[in-house]
Amino acid sequence: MSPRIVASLLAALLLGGCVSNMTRPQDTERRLDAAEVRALFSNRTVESYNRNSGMTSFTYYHPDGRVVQQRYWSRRAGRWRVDGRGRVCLDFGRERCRRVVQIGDTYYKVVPGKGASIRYRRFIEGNLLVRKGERWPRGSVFRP
Amino acid sequence: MKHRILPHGLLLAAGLGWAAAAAALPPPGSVVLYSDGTALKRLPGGSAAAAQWQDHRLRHLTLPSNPLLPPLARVGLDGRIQYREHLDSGDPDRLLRAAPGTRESFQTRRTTADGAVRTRHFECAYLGETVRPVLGRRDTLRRYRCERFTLHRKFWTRDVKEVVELDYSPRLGLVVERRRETARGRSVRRLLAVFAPGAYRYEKVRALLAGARGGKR
Repeated sequence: MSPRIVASLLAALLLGGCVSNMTRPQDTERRLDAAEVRALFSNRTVESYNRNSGMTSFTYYHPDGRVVQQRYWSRRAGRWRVDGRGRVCLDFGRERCRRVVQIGDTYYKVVPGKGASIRYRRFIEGNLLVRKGERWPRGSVFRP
Repeated sequence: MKHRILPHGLLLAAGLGWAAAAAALPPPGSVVLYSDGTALKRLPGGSAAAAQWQDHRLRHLTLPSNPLLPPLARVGLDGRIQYREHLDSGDPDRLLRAAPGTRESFQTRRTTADGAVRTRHFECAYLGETVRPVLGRRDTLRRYRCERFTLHRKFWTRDVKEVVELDYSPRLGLVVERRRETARGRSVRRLLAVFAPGAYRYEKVRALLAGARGGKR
């Protein structure tokens, strides 16, 4: 291989590295608006991970405003909505509204004082928690 | 807080030539909880050699009774097979009855949902036995150290991807501690509880995990 080709390849590699670094979106945090939040959650089963507690949750956001959440082998039911400020609000006995941000390819829920501590792992179309013919869970406390 | 520990002596016949290593797996319906938030629930069906479990991410896993082997299959919540994996060469079961210091290399082949097939290389060593309390009872544990690596295509040099040390309890049929090191960092996972069928409660899980994290929630 000629020195010229080697130099070109090296330059391409270096430039490629620069470009990929420049376009890396990891460092930029973008807040989602109400329409985006609604589209992200409505009629989806969402897997999330709490970086503080280490717990994984699955939540199905019914388009009619009902919500069911499963942690381990326990479930609870409540309500959800997107408020005027574009925050996702979950009500399991007490409503809490949080903003949703995108960092790189990943979505997070921002908890006051804890930052982007809820990482959304997956958004799966449809309800994968309550199967057809199965009763919708009752109560805002995890059972069993 | 006390947790119902499963009765031991539920010896399930492995029947695959390594009955010596056959362990008392927790019965179906049991839930196993680790300090990093990982949990496994044993499902009905399967066998001691390939038991069916569901993890805390609601994935179905087929786990071999040999703790050195990776899951044989993983199916996502959406019902899609994420991968299947089988032993391709080597005899990791040899380490279940080997003398301390024995090493064994083996390879598995993982086929992922997109049809890609990948060979995974392992080298494990049996380090010997240790006795210490597990869930409030003295237990004899078997200690293993495994490296998973890739081989360079041309030079056949080894690039270690992860190093895992396991403390395995044949009495429980479970890994009770796992220390893992990858390029991303180190992690330790300790067994916190085994809930007998029907004894699992979310509040217990939450309290145990909070305790394992020093009360931090």
